[in-house]
Amino acid sequence: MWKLSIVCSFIAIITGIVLNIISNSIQNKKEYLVYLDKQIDEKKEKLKILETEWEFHTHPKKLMEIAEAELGMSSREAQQVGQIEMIELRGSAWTMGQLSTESLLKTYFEKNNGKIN
Amino acid sequence: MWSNENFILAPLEIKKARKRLFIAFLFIFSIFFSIFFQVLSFPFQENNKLLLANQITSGLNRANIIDRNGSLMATSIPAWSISAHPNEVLEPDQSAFILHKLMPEKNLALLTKKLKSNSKYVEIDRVSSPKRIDLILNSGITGIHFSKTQTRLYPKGNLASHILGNVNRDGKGLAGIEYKMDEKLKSNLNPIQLTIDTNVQYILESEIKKQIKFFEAKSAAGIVLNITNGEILAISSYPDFDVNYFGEAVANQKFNRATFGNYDMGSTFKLINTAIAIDSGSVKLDEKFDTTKPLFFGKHRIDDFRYLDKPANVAEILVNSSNIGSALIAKKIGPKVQKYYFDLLELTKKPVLPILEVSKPIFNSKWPKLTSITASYGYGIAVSPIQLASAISCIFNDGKFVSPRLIKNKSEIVEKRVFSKKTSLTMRKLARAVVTHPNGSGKKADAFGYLVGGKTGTAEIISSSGGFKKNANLASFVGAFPINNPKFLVLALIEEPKPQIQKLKHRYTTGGQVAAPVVGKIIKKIAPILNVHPIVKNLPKIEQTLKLDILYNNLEATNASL
Repeated sequence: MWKLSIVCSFIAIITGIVLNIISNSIQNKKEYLVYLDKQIDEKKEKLKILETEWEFHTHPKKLMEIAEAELGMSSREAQQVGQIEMIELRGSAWTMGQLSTESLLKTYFEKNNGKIN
Repeated sequence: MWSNENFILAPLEIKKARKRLFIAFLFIFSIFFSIFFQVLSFPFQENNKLLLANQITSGLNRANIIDRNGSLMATSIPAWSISAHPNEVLEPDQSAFILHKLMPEKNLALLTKKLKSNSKYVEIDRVSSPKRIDLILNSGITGIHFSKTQTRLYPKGNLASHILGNVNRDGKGLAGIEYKMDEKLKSNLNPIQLTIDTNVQYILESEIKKQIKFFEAKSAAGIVLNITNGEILAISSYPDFDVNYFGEAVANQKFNRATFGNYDMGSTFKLINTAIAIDSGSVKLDEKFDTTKPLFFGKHRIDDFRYLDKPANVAEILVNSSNIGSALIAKKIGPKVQKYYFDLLELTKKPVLPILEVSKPIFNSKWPKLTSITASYGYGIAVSPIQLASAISCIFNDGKFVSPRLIKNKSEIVEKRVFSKKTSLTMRKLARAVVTHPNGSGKKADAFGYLVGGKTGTAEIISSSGGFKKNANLASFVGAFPINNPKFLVLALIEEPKPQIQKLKHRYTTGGQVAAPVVGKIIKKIAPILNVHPIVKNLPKIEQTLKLDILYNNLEATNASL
């Protein structure tokens, strides 16, 4: 019986030591977690301020002014928008009529020995 | 050597010893298990604590408000408040001077007074940036204290100011969405997404402001609406204010004219009157009315800006914007039918919007004959611009009414049929004629390639003392584009524009001269953003399909325009 009690006591002491080590490591991890949590919060706050600053700097008024001053950009006029058929290919025999989507497809299939409906 | 043989114990003592040993064994193991259990439960306890800590931090926060593209319109950011304990300040004069240098907007005399006061606590700055805190800390002033807080920031300044509203220093909503959705913004940190597009909003606001400046007008309102789903893409009211300085804005700036202002809209209501007349079968498009002389209704005389020299049909009445003709049409419709349609168009009830500033329309609830007559050309019923915009949208949206909405969510769009598809098509042709017909009043609203159709309005303004104000107009234009398949509606309303004889060589301040050009300019700029491709190639063909023969055959007969 006394052998059993010695073994048990030994196990209890060892377990106590191990548990103490685990407990300490958990305590350290907890402290580190709190530190990380604080860091994350700080980063989040900084990110929020940066986001707000970004939104301030991307105000449509500022963007339009910069685009106009630096890039010479302005609102697109309807007259500037055309159809693909209006573009004449340089140095080719294409005429305006031949550049319709239908005729382009026809030529493509004819070249590839295919058929279109 | 320890051995059992060295100890001769009585059986009873052996029994006792075993019992003690067993108790000791139990004791040690209970300690062991309790430690083990504690270790096991430790991580779970920590999680709960962390969760609670996050909730406490979040309680000070408020959800962001974003536009339809995710652009930030309102946010809460960390800030610092600066206070002083005057009894701890060593050199009040010197300290006040340094603080004034670091915070130039703070009055030096006031800072000195605060630092010299006998009170235990004085507030120096409610919201300060971390950079400013660093500067103050490095200045070495004693008795200055800092506490962390949250502040509400609106990075877009004046943009959609009336819709956003504001919060007080305790984070409670005071106006706009901030007020109406206060609980939701506090309880749930998921952002609230508006239907507003900040780019479209900016274009609407800037173009209206330019026109206000040009015509030295008093105020204005503007709306851009998606006809098919009721989404408000832009909504503005002028004068406006920077939401970050809400407290400094006066009542006139805070007044939201687009949703809270009630106006007798004038001739834009003729679109509604004509649609009702056609849809109810009260009149036929070619039916003629005598618009050559004033109309008397009891004591009331109904006049036109210019009389038409021949009786005009329904289409000509709308294109020439004849009050007499509209009144005669309303007479044929009758008050009952007219009121029925007005109810369906929700012109007689308060619109439902998630903002505080929404007004009820003003009208005689008995809807007598006189109201019915005057309502046909936009008097006797005062509605807000948003109500007018949604009613006109219904006419252009194949006759289906959709309530306007400001919050972008996946909720189902409830459509209500008011007019037939056929009526809607006829009305779209008429609206296009207002812009393209030689006698049309809205020619200046046309934007090449975008097929604008709409109606002008020039209403007299009722003064606070009763009667109409002298030389004061409410110039408006409501138009949709592309009118062959309308997607978007633009409304501009400019209050009390002044004649610009020197600049324009005429003194007109009508809807056609003041509001129509703004709508044209707005459409030209917002169409590419809204992905509306200009019609260039098939333009003459489409224009032809929109032409009403009844108008162009009688072109020579009509000789008046507004």
